Parts: sequence; C-alpha cells; structure tokens
Amino acid sequence: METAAIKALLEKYWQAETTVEEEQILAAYFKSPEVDAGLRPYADLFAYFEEESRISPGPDFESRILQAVTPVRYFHSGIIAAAATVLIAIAGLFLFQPAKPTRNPGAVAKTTGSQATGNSATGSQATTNAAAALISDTYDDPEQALAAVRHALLIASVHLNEGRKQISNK
Amino acid sequence: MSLEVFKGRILPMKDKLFRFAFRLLRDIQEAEDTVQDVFVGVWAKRAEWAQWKNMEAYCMTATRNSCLDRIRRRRAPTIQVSLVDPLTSPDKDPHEKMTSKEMIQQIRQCMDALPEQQQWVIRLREMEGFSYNEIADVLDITLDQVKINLFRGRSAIRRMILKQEEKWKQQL
Repeated sequence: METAAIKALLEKYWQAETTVEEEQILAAYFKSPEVDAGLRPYADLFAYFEEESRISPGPDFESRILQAVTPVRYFHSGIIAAAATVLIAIAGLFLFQPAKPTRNPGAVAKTTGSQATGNSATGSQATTNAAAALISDTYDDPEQALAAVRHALLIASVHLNEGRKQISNK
Repeated sequence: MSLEVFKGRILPMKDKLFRFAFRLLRDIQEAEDTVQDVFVGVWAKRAEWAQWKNMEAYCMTATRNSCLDRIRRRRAPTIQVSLVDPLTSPDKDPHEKMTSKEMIQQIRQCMDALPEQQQWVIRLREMEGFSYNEIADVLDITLDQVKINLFRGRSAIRRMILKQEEKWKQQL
C-alpha cells in the first residue's frame, strides 16, 4: 500500500475511526520491512501490540481445563452400587436356586425313608443327599454352566460401561 | 452435546482469557488458575448457555471479576514481570534496535500510566481485536465511552511517541 494511503489510514486510526480490518492493514504494513522512514516510530507501537497479543498459557493448559471440567470418576458410588447389586443378583440366581423335583425325584424320597429308620450313619448320608438335592445343579454340563456365567457377567459389564459413558458425557 | 459446545466454542477462548487475566494479575500461574476457575464455573452453568447473549463477553467479565477478587485478597503486591522482549527485526542496525527497545519500553510505561478504562479499551481492541460493541459488553460501558477512551488513549501514546522522537532528534 502507498505511503500516502497509510498516512491517511493512520490519521483515521488516531481519531479512533478505523475499523478492525483497517487496523489489520496498518499492523501488516508496519510489520513489513518497507516502512517509510517518517513512520518508523509507529512500527514500534504495532510491534508492542503484536508481542503482547502473543502471550499464551502453558502447553498443558487445555488438558488441565478439560480435566477440571470433566473429571473421570472411576469410583462413582452410584455405578459401584448398581454393579454390586447386579452381581449379587446374578450370584443369587446361581447359588440359591431351589431343587427341581422332576430332575432328581428319588433323592428326597430316599432321604425321608432313611431318617425314619433311625440309623445315624445312613441318616448322615441322607442329609448330605438332601442338601445336594436342594442345591442341585442347573446345568449337567460344566462347559454349559461356565458359558452361562460368562454370558451373565458380560451383560453386567455392558450395563456398567453404559453407565460410566453417561457420566463422562455429562 | 454440552462437551462438544464447550470444546468448540468456549475452550478456544482460553488464550484470550489468559492474556486478559495475566495483564491484571501479572503472574502466569495465578492467571492460569483464574481462567481454569472461570471455565469450571461456566461449565457448571451449562444449562443456561442458550440464554447468554454473548458467551465471550460473559467469560471475559467473569475473568475480570475473578482477577479483581484475587487482587483484593493479595497480601503483598506481585512483582510485575515482563514476559516478552521487544520485537526487533534482524535487519535493523544496532542503533535502530536500541531505539526500538527504548521506544517499546516507553510505550509500555505510557500504557501502564493511562487511566484503567483507557488501558482496557486499548488492550481489548489492539491485542484481542474486539469490536466496539464487544468492548462495551465486557467493560460494561457505553459505545460512546469506548470510542472516547480509545481516542484519548491512542492520543496519549501518540504524544509520547512524538515527544520521544523530538528528544532523540535534539540529542543528535
């Protein structure tokens, strides 16, 4: 830009009548090496403004803010409580299922008969049989049982992750 | 959703807010802590964001108020630090470099000696590129006051520059 035009713009600047765009033109001119000798002192003014506008915070400042604003709550009590409830419920389903009479119908009848005879050895055996009958397995095949447990835990894990995701998105 | 808005519209203001805080507090760590507190406060009010007319002006005002609170709580004044060296072009001769350095020092002193409102209007305009309306919002003054303060502040700096030039000419 010609010196005369810059001088006119500068005059407007001192009168506080320039737009932001016109002030950017002035800043660009005074940053260039072709500054008119008569205008050189004003180059220092724009250099000062530029230097001051370069002041910035440390490089980890953004991550510090994000951490402060959305902390990851690994031990959120609500989630832990919900997860514990789900796990206890699942464990309860597997451990305390009542005996199914159709699966082992002879066990209970045999126990009742032995207790009636008064034989202590036979009675003890019978009690064990009765307990076994009450906590009878849901699955005959151990592989099948393991697969069922894994599936149940997977469901619990998915719900746990969903809950955590909702919290971290808040 | 809120986090996206925060990252896209609010977080990019961090440098501006930091500079704003730093110029008031003159302490890097304190300025960072202040801006972090402001962001946490803004995040806590995310339900109100839609009602805010000008988010930037809100953040600037919150930063300013927070800085003023900190200054009031200070027991001893913090030593003023100068973060930057004067910008000196490598193609300048030693005499020019020296005069540039001297002039920038004089400008800095002149700026610091200006009435507070003139300083802020000039800083927001020259260093942050704010419009007159934005300056009026942040400083809670009228548009006319913005223009008057800018005119008076620039005039004072111009007078100082011309006076310094005159002084150097007489020394030659």
